[in-house]
Amino acid sequence: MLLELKEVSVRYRGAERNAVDRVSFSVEENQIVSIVGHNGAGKSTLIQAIMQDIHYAGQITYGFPEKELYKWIRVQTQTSTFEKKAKVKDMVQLYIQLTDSRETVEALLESVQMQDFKHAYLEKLSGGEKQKIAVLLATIGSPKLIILDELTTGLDVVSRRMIWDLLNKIRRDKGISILLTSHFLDEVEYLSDDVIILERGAVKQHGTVGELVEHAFDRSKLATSLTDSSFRYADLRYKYTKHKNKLMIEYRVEQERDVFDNLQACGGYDIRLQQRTFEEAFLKLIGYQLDEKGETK
Amino acid sequence: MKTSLSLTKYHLKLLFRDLPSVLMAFLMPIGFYVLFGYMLQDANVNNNSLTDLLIPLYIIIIIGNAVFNVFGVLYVNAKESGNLQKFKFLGVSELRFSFTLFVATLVFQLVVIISFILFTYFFDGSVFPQDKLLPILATLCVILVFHFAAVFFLVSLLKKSTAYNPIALTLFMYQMFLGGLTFPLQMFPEFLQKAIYYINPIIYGRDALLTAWTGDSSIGHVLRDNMILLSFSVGLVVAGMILNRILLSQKTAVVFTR
Repeated sequence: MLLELKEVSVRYRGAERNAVDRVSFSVEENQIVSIVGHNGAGKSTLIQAIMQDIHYAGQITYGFPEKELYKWIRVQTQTSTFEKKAKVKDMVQLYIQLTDSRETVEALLESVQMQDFKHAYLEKLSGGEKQKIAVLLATIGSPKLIILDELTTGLDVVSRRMIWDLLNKIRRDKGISILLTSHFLDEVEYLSDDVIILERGAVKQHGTVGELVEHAFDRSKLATSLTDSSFRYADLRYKYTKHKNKLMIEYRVEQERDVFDNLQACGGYDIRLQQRTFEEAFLKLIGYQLDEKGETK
Repeated sequence: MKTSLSLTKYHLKLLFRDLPSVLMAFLMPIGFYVLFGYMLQDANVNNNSLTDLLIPLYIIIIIGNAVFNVFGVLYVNAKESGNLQKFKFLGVSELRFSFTLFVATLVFQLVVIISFILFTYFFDGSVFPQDKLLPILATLCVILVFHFAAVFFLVSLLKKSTAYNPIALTLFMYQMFLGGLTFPLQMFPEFLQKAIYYINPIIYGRDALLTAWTGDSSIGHVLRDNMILLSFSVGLVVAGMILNRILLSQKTAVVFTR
């Protein structure tokens, strides 16, 4: 166990409710845990509590002496601002020195294919390149856990994919655990071993992506089929919904073969048998969707 | 020690890369010296050539600019942008961060001051009074402390760069033009010549430095004026600490237990 929170609560002076309300979870070695939630759900406050930067009730324990907190846990935020006029090599060199690392600027930049940017000013880099450097900086000195607070917010799809690949590579090559806060559900689904859904400071759901999907849909899947005027509805044995010429059937896993055969026999075409997505599960469990900025919709 | 050294070197690198700040720091005293030196070439103050007095006065301007507009701006920006927290999570305390920024700014000032003194030597043969080095350095230290105290007070009050930057610049200008640093006090209206000792404490630094530089005790008294300026500095630091405590207590998170 690297990190364990038990019944952690935080309330700001003058606030009517807790910003973080009796949150418990743990992060194991070589694990990616995601915290999902809308803006104001308490994600950043929770990170501050983990970093002992705020008073809290409850208990936070680490898999190492607490005085070595800054050595073993690193934090990078979406606002990974870099000082004006700082070059990539300056920043990487500074982190190497501050963390007493034996790594070299060249080797580190090579590990993320950023050698060509060694002499570039950080402020001139694209959003994706900046965040790639931010992730690289977080790994210098071989921490046990890195906390990435909404790191991919504001990035385009390609840049986000690039960051995902980098995170997977870091976990694979260096065995570093990652605690990720995000409101991109596809990102959470792609990366996470464990997901915590935070709402108004409290844990609303907790589990693997598979568990959460299963919990939301009770092992049901979705079949879709296109239909035309020759489709024989009288022969269809399953309850369905229809949108224009697209027919949808929610079914249990053990019914899959029969659903497919039945749709085919009725004259359906372009039949698809789909797993439910995390996004669908989130909508069903939580009751709202998140937009790109983390607002509810 | 290693951490402080690395951070100081990093700050220094960034400081010297910021061309507008570097140009302003180097060219402003030189420009003033050339301009006012020409305008006031025949003027004398207390039997001292005014041109000679411009050098210590503009050294105070250099210090003011470095502390108000370089150190203060960088410090507030670091706080506001989250860079201070970024370093905190790397094990660098706010105190260590500000100390290393302070040292880097100090080195920056020294380079500018030495360049300015060299310029005046080659420009019109002005010679630095080496025999008075000790009182001059002591007075410069007190002036430096006063400026840092003023910035500490300002930063305690103004947390956003949008508020700090214009106010710091205004105070710097106020101190420069209404502190007898650009032209002699004797050119001010009579009432202002007296009022200035109550409304602009840098005047004590000015008097102390001019006295130390020229050895002319009719301008002021090195020890007394430095002590007065130090008293103002202590007052600013105490006021800043009180403000910090009040503002911090409003923001600190408290725990709710059921």
